[in-house]
Amino acid sequence: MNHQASIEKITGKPIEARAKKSTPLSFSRVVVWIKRNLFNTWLDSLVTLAIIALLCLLLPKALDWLFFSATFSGTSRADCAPGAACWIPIRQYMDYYIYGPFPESEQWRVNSAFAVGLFVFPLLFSQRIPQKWIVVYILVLPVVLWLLLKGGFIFEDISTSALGGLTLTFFLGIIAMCLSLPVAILLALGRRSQLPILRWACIGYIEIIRSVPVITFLFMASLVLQLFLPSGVSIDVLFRVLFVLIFVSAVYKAEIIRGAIQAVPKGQIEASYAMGCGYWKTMAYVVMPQALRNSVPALITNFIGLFKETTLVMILGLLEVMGAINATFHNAEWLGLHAEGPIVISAFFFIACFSIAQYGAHLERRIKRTKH
Amino acid sequence: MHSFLYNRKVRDTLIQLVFFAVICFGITYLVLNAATNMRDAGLTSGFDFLFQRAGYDISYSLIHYDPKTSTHLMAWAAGMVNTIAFAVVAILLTTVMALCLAVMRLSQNFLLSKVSLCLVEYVRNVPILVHISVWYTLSLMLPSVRQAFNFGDVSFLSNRGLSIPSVEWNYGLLASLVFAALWIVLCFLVNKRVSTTGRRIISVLLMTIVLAVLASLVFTPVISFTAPKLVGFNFKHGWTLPPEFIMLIIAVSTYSAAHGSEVIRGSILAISKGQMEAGLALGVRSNIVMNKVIIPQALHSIIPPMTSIYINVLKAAALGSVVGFMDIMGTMGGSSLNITGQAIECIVIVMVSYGILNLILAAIMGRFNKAMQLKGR
Repeated sequence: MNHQASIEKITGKPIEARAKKSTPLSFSRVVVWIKRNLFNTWLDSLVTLAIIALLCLLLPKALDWLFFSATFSGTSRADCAPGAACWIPIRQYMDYYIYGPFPESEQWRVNSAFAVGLFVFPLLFSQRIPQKWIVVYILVLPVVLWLLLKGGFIFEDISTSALGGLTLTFFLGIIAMCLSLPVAILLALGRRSQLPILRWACIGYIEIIRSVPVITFLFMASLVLQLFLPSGVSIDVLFRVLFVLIFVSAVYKAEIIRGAIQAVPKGQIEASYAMGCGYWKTMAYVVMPQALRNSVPALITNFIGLFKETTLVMILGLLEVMGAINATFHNAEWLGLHAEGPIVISAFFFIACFSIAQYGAHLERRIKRTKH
Repeated sequence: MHSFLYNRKVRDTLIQLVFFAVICFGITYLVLNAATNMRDAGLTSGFDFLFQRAGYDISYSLIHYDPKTSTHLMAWAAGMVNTIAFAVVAILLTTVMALCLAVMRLSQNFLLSKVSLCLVEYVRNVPILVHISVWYTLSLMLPSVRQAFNFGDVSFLSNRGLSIPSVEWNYGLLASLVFAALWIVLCFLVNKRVSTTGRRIISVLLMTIVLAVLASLVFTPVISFTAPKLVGFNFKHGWTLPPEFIMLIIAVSTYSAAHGSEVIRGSILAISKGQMEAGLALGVRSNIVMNKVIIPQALHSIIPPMTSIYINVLKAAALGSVVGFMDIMGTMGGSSLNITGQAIECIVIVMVSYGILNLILAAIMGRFNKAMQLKGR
């Protein structure tokens, strides 16, 4: 039994078993499943029992602390039940976490920015819409987001200090993602270029940036960048951070895209040249459509990394979602509630990143399916 | 003229010249700006500040560092040693935990596999900064020295950190050098003998142990341990690792282990099913097929992505500045920079230091990868 089960774990079920129609669920099948997957050997049984015991011990306590004994409604610290979670500050400051200090009358702009940004995912998902429109959408997206969140042109201008909470996380994440893509494409092309100076400049840039922690560049942006600008010129810290995020994450994307470019058969490029297409035409119409399409799953993983990395701007004093949540718990009234803040931040990032990751895995499976 | 411009070689050279000129112009512009700005601020560029007294304290340093007398150069060295110590411990822990998580995930026990899945997915999808702050908050809840967790009277965990037995090397420099030379010669000899059998790492390890045991038998013990002991309000003897160091290591290594376990699992699952079936058809037990056939092959695809995870671990040392652990970024890029105002020099030193550490790590992993590569026929 043990032997058979461990084989199946690696090789999957035998073909005839896969082809067979599933038999209706019966008691004996459940028993067989339990026996095979939970109590296979004595060691297995021990592990299973240990896990069940641990779950029985911890889960009720955790659930009780989190929900059953926890306080959800109330107005002040005095309403909090002792020995359980207190979600009052979270509910009180929910608006602040999402919109930050964004002016209340303009909050519809943030909402529509979320909607416009999140629309990328169904767009990437759909197979009916031509690739051209998706590219256009991704190119226009940062401009639209900028207009909505930062203002200018037709909308009222919002000061950079009014961006905070989830709005700031979203702003930095999506704009850095969209704007770093073209930089990454150029770097990837440069790294594979035939021209030695261009190639070595790109290799040098990529390798240097890759070997230094992002936080060094963030500190550099906050402390050193000012030195390199002519006196009198100063750039807002938000834009400096955005600049760093764009030019650092472009490097990692460049490596992903380079890998995808290398995977395009060389014969196609040669064929394109033989047809009389130049370098840019070959890249734009033959190589890039395939390379970008194949690198979408890896780029989504990269996006998750970038999204998580936006928390680092907290170190420079910008209150993105994690900074905003931490700030409320440093409030004198809510001081001493250690666990609630991290739990909410973890839950938020877990839900966001996990769903994007599942989506990326789904796209990857689809790409694999269509390839063979 | 027209055909001249359309000549491929001419065009390539021209494009590169223009590109080169633009870059040179940009760099000159920035450097000139920096020079004017520094002159206005009354700063002189140069690395002389390295030999000035640093005058700030480093909360935890493995080498001797005295805030009153030590120079900025010593502060850099302290940060560098901290970074390396952090990286070595965190990388080892990452590897062990990643392996455990991957084995758990591939286990046939449904519950164990799902527990690993939950752990990995939770840890992977939450930013590292959150992990660090959670572990740091936990470290604040550790008991005082008097109520420290006692691990068999040899290690203690309290709010001062983890006290572990110290390891002392009982010989002077000369004797150590002789030992080192002997070790290298013996390794070389072993290396020559085993180059045909391939079990190099195990042989070298065995060699080292044999040498240590022999030396201990002939002389007084080469290495001795001293357990920490509670004296007054603190631990005497032994080594004390501060809580921020431990918590940073735990946070970073769990985070990278979650990523690493996915790499390991993916590589093992990517090995063709036929390999397992062939082994089983030959009548070999499945766990032996796993150890002798699947894992050696999976190792080739594990090492390159693992290298980049290790490099991320190394770079995560810089996040120590959030919890007060001083690595190069904390010493040179933080305190030294603020005190001297030599921003450009300090940042350059930090970048070069990280670059060198990265190169060393990549070179070691490259060697390892080469050693593990399939020997083609």
